[in-house]
This record gives sequence, structure tokens and C-alpha cells, in this order.
Amino acid sequence: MLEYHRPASIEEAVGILAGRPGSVVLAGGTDLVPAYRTGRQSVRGYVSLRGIPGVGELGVGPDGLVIRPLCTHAAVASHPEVWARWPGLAWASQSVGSVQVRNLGTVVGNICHASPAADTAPALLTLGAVVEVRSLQGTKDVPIAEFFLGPGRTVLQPGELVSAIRVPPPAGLFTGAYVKISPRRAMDIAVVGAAVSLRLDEDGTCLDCRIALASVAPVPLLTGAGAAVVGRRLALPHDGTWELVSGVHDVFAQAGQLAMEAARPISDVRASADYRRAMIPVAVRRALWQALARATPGEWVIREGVQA
Amino acid sequence: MSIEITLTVNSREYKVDVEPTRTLLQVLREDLALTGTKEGCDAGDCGACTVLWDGRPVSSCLVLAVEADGGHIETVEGLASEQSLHVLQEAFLEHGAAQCGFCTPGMLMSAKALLATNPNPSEGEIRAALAGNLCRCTGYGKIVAAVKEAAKAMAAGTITASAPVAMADGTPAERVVVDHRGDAPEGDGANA
Amino acid sequence: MPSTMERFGPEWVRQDLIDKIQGKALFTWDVKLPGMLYGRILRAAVPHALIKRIDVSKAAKAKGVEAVVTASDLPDPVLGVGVLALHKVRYAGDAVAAVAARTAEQAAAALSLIEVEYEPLPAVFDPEEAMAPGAPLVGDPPAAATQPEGETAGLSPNVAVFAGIEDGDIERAFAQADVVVEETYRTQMVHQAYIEPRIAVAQWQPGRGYEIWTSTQSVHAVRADVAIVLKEPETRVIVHGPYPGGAFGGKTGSELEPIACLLARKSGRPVRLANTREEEFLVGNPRHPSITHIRSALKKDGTILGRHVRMIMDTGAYPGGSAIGVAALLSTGPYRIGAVKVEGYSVLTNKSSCGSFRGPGGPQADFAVESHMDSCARALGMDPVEFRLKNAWVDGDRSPTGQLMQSVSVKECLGAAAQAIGWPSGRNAAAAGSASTRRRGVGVAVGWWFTGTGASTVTVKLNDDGTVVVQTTGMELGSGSVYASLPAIVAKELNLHPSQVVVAHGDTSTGPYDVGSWGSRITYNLGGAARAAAIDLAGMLKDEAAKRLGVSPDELAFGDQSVYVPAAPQKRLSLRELARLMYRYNGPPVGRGSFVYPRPGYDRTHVRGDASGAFNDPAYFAQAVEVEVDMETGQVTVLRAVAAQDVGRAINPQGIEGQIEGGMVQALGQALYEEMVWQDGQLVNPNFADYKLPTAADVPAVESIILEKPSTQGPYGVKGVGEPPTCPTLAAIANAVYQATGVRIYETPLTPERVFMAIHRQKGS
Repeated sequence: MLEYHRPASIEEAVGILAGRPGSVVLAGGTDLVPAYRTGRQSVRGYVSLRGIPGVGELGVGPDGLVIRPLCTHAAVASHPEVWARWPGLAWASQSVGSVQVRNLGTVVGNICHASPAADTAPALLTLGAVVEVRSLQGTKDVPIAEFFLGPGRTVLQPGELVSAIRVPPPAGLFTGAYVKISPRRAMDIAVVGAAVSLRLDEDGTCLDCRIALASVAPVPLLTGAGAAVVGRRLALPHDGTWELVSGVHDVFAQAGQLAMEAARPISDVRASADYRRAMIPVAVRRALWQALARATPGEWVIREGVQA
Repeated sequence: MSIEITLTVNSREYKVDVEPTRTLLQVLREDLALTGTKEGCDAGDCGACTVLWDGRPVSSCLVLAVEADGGHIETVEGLASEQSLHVLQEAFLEHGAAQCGFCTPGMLMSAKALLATNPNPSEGEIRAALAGNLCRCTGYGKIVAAVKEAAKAMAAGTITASAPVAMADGTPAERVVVDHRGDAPEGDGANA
Repeated sequence: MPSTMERFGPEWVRQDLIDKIQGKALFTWDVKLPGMLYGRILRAAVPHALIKRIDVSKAAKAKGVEAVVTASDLPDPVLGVGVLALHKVRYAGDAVAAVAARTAEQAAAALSLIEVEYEPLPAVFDPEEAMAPGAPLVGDPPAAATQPEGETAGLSPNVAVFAGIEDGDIERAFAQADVVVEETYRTQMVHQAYIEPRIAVAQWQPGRGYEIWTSTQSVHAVRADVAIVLKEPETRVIVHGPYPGGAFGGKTGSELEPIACLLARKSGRPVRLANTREEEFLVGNPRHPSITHIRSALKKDGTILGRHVRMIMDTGAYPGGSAIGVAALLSTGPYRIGAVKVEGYSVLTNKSSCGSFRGPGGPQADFAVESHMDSCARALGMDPVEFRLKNAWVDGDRSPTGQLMQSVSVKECLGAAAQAIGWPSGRNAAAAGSASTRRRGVGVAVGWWFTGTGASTVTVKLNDDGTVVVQTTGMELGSGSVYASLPAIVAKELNLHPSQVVVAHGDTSTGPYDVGSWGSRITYNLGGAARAAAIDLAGMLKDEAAKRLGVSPDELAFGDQSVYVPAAPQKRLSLRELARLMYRYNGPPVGRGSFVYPRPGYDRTHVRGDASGAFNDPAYFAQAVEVEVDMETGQVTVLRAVAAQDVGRAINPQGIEGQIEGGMVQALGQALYEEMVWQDGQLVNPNFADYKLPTAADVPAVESIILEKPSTQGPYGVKGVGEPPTCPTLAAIANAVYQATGVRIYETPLTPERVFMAIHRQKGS
């Protein structure tokens, strides 16, 4: 008989997990419920989080973003400040499934399920997010880059749950983007997903660039491809607008190439490895352009000979 | 292991004993005899089971009923009042937006939630909001036209939709006549 | 180019939609009987194997289980081949046993307690491999290893059906050609994906027999199948058809019903047997995949001297539901061609048994021939629309089988579609040079399709209170052919408003016979029967009124729910008064009508095997699309979709638009996204996550143009409507992609990966 627990606090929740091995934490249920009902996964019981006050909150403040376990994709994707400060993450949440799935599915659940195709994972990787892990032993912080071990596997041990994902506050001229390659405009799992974060100084030079990918490796992949962009001058401030520097295309193309070289895609029912490899530079380039456009607001003046 | 839960469905409070494995879809259809909400795939991929939970469209086949304890659920059976159909239902009939009718209840609920937060949606916004509701009969064109028409009618205030709503503080409500003159409902808003 | 004919009747709301819109309409999924059990089927997980042993004893004793059945429970297990496997399974999904238990969970748990011992057999999954002598035999072993004679001599017994057409001297045509174009096209297996999975609820009573509720396109077809398989007289098989939640050809026969009946009889309780969505994909009647080799002999001036087609269809594990006969007739297109040779083969493989899917054979044949027509045009340096217009049939032409074509409207439809799309450049042509990463193009395709036939009967009854009822067993699939067209037709004959005519849907024991809702036949046949029944009733009413009013029947007319003398309007009897009189003295006022469907002639010497000889009262149609291709990802977006269709006479224009829009979008799914993917005999994607139906966000609003050129035999000139919209779409999109990119795609679906790879192969990179 399936057990069901509705603890009133995180402490109580981890106590149940420790005392009843084989129990799983139920957040939105979009992955767990069908898996259990079709017999793909058998569990001893569910530990629901819905009885815990504040567990669905999205904390936005000067210290950054705090994503609590029941915070849905819909909540992230509809928050104006998330769009303003961490647009890559907002876009990633927005790209998940459908309205119905986004109203149930959670960001924490997305990373704990640890599909290599999880849309929010690359965005969180580019943001240097930290995963707060709770157990009876206390709290520990795990950098997101260390969180994923393999398809469907994370560092979480029995008795542990994720109590928050913390995203540091952006500094300066900071932005991001997420591009999802898939056949349909909704409901699809990414064939390739590319998240970027970009920080420019006021002269248009890139101070920091991170590029991460979904669906191209056993885990969501933070690549070193951003190094191709760091230190390069991408745009010139000019009379209240920005001009593109010639050569940005080549810089972004190089980043895309490096990202492709870092990836180890497989062939599956959704796409072949060859197609995925070919799409990585496309997705990375487009994400970088989107991010650059957001970072350099105002009307772009495109210099002759430079293609948008 | 049976758990007693309370669900407010279409403004009426129900107390039901449920096993933890049962979904909200099963409880609505089998325990409460509200068979308007349909099962198309039981995996959250088709939207035929869409209901509103605290105003938000969800696939009820993905929600364990015990998780919805204390919640306000709206299904297609709650759209019409005793006096009249909901504006959306009128528009669907006028535009021929239903053919076999199986996806229609879920489609109506998604559309209702859309118009509650976005009273003047563009065609693109309507299509994005309905992307989780698969239809195999209509090709979506007449559905989109019907939603646009309903939005216009509601915004113009020319039609008053009589639909039962739950109060924002969570108490079950009497049936109230709500003038949908472009206002979003208070409390939890649906996500477009 | 709107129709110049006046509206057939007023618009009103169909009675079934009033219930559907409120979630009150009864679907089979909503049927609940007292004491109802839940059934589940054990399906083979191997693609081809002998059944050595089945042991259901543990399952029979499991908690909640009330009955377990296998093929041995059938009165004649051989007759039941395809219902429950007897000595072998032919594909992964074949039903082997079934249980009924008190809860759904108990039924599912009991399945794992059924022990089946299989001896795997060599299997074959590719139809070309399956045709060759020596291929593993999918069916039961025949006497000889290869087919002894005729068209299929020397081929494997896996070749279940041959369809051939010959007209004129094909060799001479190719000898005389200025230009020869030769290509191969392939289409994939796709599923109807109706949103309501199949389901049957059955009960058995010793006096009444079997009673079944099922989601179906034909209650009479289910009755016939169950009666045969269970060896019962048809009077002891009563079939009810609640509204089906979509069908599209996938619910034309029986599948779950015989098993549900067996479980009901064995357990003594009603049994509900439903497919999960996964089972629905595995055990459906999907569209036949096809391989078409097509070559044309052309003259420089655009004349088509000859066309030779060799088409192979993969029919899966069981031979029923062939589409090759129709495809053969479609395969050369509605054009004047000097000489034609068609060879079509339907081949067994160890995969899902393919069957009817809206326009069976149509998308396959049209994708090949209409893509090929574009290639021919380009080879000749001609505009693809001009090339078609030059060769398209007109009234009086003969088809390759010698059928005389009448009420032809290929050119009108093509002209309308081409104009609407803005041929040759489209309306959205971006001012993009060849360097642009997004390129746009337009494409057209035409087609023709039959209006299905088969027996239909309808009664129209005047009730004692003067209300009018149409009694039918015709199934309303959603188009309005039953709930809109029948009231409209009866109302026209009795000068009523359609809302004053109620449809009463009967079961097989209470309602008049109708063969089924498929083949674009409903309005034509059922409507024809309704018209005849209404005229029959009208005659009775006029005769009765004439006697009572002292006039001749010719002096009478219908109006205001009465029969009256227009020249002396005070002389009238209301329908209510007439009904009461007739029920008491001279009645009852019940009109009966059947539709005697035509059988168009053709030259039998042109036709061999199963090839269709003629299409009854065909409909003609054309589609045009404008696409944008993302050259970097291969993604194809359809910006605009136009469909021009000749419907003969539009009884229900809104319903017709709904069919055109829905059908074209369904085909768009096959063109761009959908595919049932098999690996080593296992279906890899039996779910809506990886079998990708187009969502509302993926498709444009279809612009439909209704043309009316009356049919020769249909009531009011009606032609069939439902299937045509699925046929030309694949080619229209492929042709548009060609115009946009210069790349010809020879295989559907045109997924981003396929288009991308084709673009890059072309580039040589």
C-alpha cells in the first residue's frame, strides 16, 4: 500500500525520508505520478511538500533568487523581475511543456529528475546556482555543476532533499538567454538546449560568459566555450545606442564550435547524434545573439557589412 | 490507506475518501460523477483532463487527489449557470469549435483561465495558451476564433458570464454573477 | 472564389454539441453499469513467436479477478484469429489473454501472473525484404513457399494483395519520350490519434444475449464481427454507439468488443475494456507506410505520354484493411496520360496491422504523384501550376481504368487555391536574398477522392404531438453529417426549421441499418436515405391531408409545421393534427428511405487484382501552402494553408469547413511531425510525448474555399467531404519546401533533421 505523508516542515520531511527508506519527495508530480502509475517506478511512499508553509515561494531580492521546492515553472516564468535579471532562466521555464505542465512542474523537480534534457538545468549552470540540500544531518550547499551524476542521477542520497536553489544576484550589465531546438513550439523535450549568461562592462567588453547545454551529454553540460567570448569587445556604446563590432559573428561562431566539441550527444528517437552536433553551434549562436540584444538595450545600429 | 480530503468543485464542497494513488481525474470522474473531464492519455501529454486548480489550468491526471486537498477545482460542469451558458460555450457553439467534443471540456477550461488573466489575447497568445490541449478534429482554427470572439464579448461588457467562482479567501462561494469587464480575478491568477 | 449557389438552409446549433459543450454528452468512457468489472489484455511483447503454453491459473485466483480468457474460450478459435492469438503471435501487441477484475489496478496486477511460453520465430519488418522469396512468413504457413501464379508469382506469400492497372502501351510511351523523370517516394506509418482511446463495455444476459457499448464508426460492423466470432445470431448481439471521441478510420471494425463479451459471459458481470494510450498506439489501425517508384515519359510541350508506378505498402501483421487498391487508382493523378501501368503490392510484416486512416492510400499516392508532378514541371522548365492545368482532366475524359469522368473540377480547385496563396510567390515573400537563413516558398498539390457507398436506411417519424424525428444508426464522428445534415435535409423537404427536427440515434436492434460512417459517405448515403424517407413521409401526409381537406395532393404545400393549400391558406391541417388522425385511423406517419447507391462503370480489362476500378461521384480538391524554412535547423513552418474543395453541394458549410481545416492540419502532422518508430519489431514511441501531434501553436488557420459542382447521383448534388483534405497536403508542403530551398525531400515526415540533412547534402558540405 502506497504511503502518503504531508509533513508540516522540512525538518519533519527529512525525518520521514530517513525513517522510511524507499520514500520519494513529491513536488509537482509531473514526472513521478505517471512513472508510478504505469509501473515504471515503484516507491514505498510519497512525502508531499504541499503542507509546508512558504514552500512554493520565489524569493527575489538584492541577495539574488531563492527558488523553493514547490516553486513552479509558471511562477518563475511569470515573474517580471526574473525576466529582467535572469532572463535565461525565465525563458527556460517558459519553454517547458505546456501551460498545464508549467502550473504543476517545479524547477527543483526538474533538476532532481535529472534528465539530460532538463530545460532549467543549463540556465542554472550558467548562473552558478547553488543547491541547498537538507537532511537530518543538517544543510549543505552543492554547486549546481556538481549536482548531476548521470541520466536520472544526482548527488542526493537517501534521506536528502533539495530545500532551495539559490541564484546569485547579477552584477553590472548582465543578461542571459535560452534557445531550445525542438520540432514543435510546445510540449517537446529539447533536441538541443543552449543557455548562456553574459556580462558586459559599460564599454561593451565581455567580462564573463557561460554556456551550458541540454540533451547533448549524460548530464546537463556546462562547457568552457564561454572563454571564446570573454575579453572580446562585442558592442560599442554610441550616442545612447550600441553598435555592433565587426567580428562578433566569428566570436560567437567560435563559441559554438567549442561547445560542440565539448558535447557527447547520442542518437535516440528524438534526433541523431549528428543532428544534435550540428545544432549545438546554431543554438549557442542564437542564444548569444539574444543575450547580447538584451544586454545592449536601445535601438541597434547595425554597421554596414555586419549581418544581424 | 484511505485519506479523507475536501475538494471544492464548482463552488460545492465535497468530502471524499481517497487512496493516495488516485488522481484528481479519477476522483472527479468516478467518485464525484463529474464525467465531463476526459481521459485521453493518463500521462499529462494531451490536455483532455484539464481542470482549473485554484484558477490555474493543470492536467488532472498528473495530480494525486490527496495533493489537491483543500483546493478549489473548476470543471466544465461549472461553466454554465442555470440561466445561461458561459460566454466561451456560446462562442464555441457559434463558431463550430467542437466536432467530436472529446477535447472540448479541457479546451474550454484552458481558454477560461487565459481570458481571466489576459482579457485581450492575440491569436498567438491564444494558440500558446491552448498548446497543451490537443485536438485532432478541428485543426484549432475555429477554437481560436471562438476564444477571440468570447474575449471581445467579455471585454465589451455586453455579455455577463454567469459562472460560479470561489472566493479568494478560500471559502466556498454561492453562485455569483460576475461581470467580466476586463478584470482579472483577485487572488491566484492563472498563468497565460 | 465563393460558391454561387445559395445557402442550403439556415445555421443553427446541432443538438449533440449542446451536450458536448457542457461536458454532459455520453461517451463510452462515461458508461458505467452496476457491478461493472475492469478488463485488461495481455499482449505479446515479442514480434513473432509460437505460443507453446499459456497458464492463466495463477491469474484466475488473484485478488479481485472474476474471469480470465484466452483463444480457447472462443467458440471457434480459428475464426477469432486477430482477436486472441491461437498458436502464434504476429506482432508485439497481439492479444494473448484477457482478465476482468473488480478494480482496474487488480486487473493490471493479474496480467503479470499469466504465464506464456513463447518460441521466437524469425521476424521481418521491412516490406521489401518481406516480399522476397525465403522471407519469414508472417501469416500461417501456406502450402507453397512462394506464390504459384499470377501477378505475384515467385513472390513471398507475405504479399497479401496485388493491385494492377494497365492502359495503353507503356513501353512505347517511354520510347517516345523527350524527357523521362524517375523518382522514389516514401511515407511513414502514422496513427489516427483520436483523443478518445478505444473502449468497449459489454454485458451478457441469457435471454437478451450480448449487449455492447463501444466507441465505433459502425454499430452494425461491430455486431457483424462479434456475431461471427462468437457464433451468435445477430439478434443476440446488440450494439450501442455513444458519441465516438474521434475515429478517422481507426474505429471501423471490432477489436475489444469480442474480448469484452467473452469476459462478460464468463464472469457473469458487465466488463469495461479500454485501451491505454500506449496500447492504442500499438494495436491500432495505422496508415500504411509506402514506397512508391514513379516514372513519367514527357514530351517537351508538357504532354504526359506515359506514367509507370510501382507501389509497395506495408500492411503489418494482418492482411485486412488494404489501401493499395485505392492508391493504385490515385497513383497516376487526375491527368490525361497516354499510357499507364500501375503495380501495387500490400505486404505483411511483423508490426501493427495497418488499416483505414482517413483517406487510406490517398496521402501516400498523392505525396508521390504530386511531388513528382512538380519535378516533371521543373524538368520541362514549366510552371508547376501551368503544367497541371495543361494536363488535368475535364468532363468527358477517361481515367486509366476507363471510367468516364463527370463533374470534374480539378482546374477550378487548382485555380482557386493558387490564386488564394498568391502563386507563384506567395503573399509573405520576404525580401530575403539567398544568404538569408530563413527562406520562404509556396507549393500546390491537387487530388481526387471517391464518395463512399454502402447501404443506408433512415426512418422519419412524425410523433403524436407533431414533432419530427429522424431515426438512424449512423454514427456522428463530429462533422455534423448526422446531427446537422440530416435535420437540414428533412427540414428542407417538410419546410421546417432544422431545429424542429430531432435526431434519434438507435442501436442495432432498434435503429434502421447503416453500413457505417467512413469513406466520406455519410451525407451522400445517409442524407440520401433521409431525403427519401422525408419525401415518403411527405407523400403520406399530403395524401391524408388531401382526403380530409377535399383537395388533390398536388394542391398542397408544407409550411408553419402544417400542410395547407397555398391558394386557400385557411384550408390547413397542422402536423400535430395530422399525426393524431393518422395514429388513430390511417397511420402511422413513418416515412422510410434507403439510398440506392450507384456503381460507376469502368473497363474491367484495365484492372487486375484488387485495384479500384472506379471512384463513385468523386470530389476534386487542391491545396496550397506557404512555408518558411529555417535553413540552420531545417524547421519548416507553415505560414499559410489554403484548401479549395469541390463538395458538390454544401449542406452544412460550417461543418465542411471544420472537416477541411481539421483534415489539413491532421495531414500537416503527417507531413512534418508524426511517425510511429519501430526498432526490431518494437514500437519505440507509443505515447503523445514522442509521437508528436501538431499543437495549436504549430499550425496556421486553414483558409478553406468551398466550391460546388453538383455530383451526378448524390442528394442535392452532394459529394463526399471528410477524407479529401488529408490527401494533397504532404506534397503541397514538400513542393513549397522545394521552392524555398531548392531541395526535394522524398520522404515524410519532413522533420527538421530530415530537411536539414537534405539541405546540407545538397550543399555538399
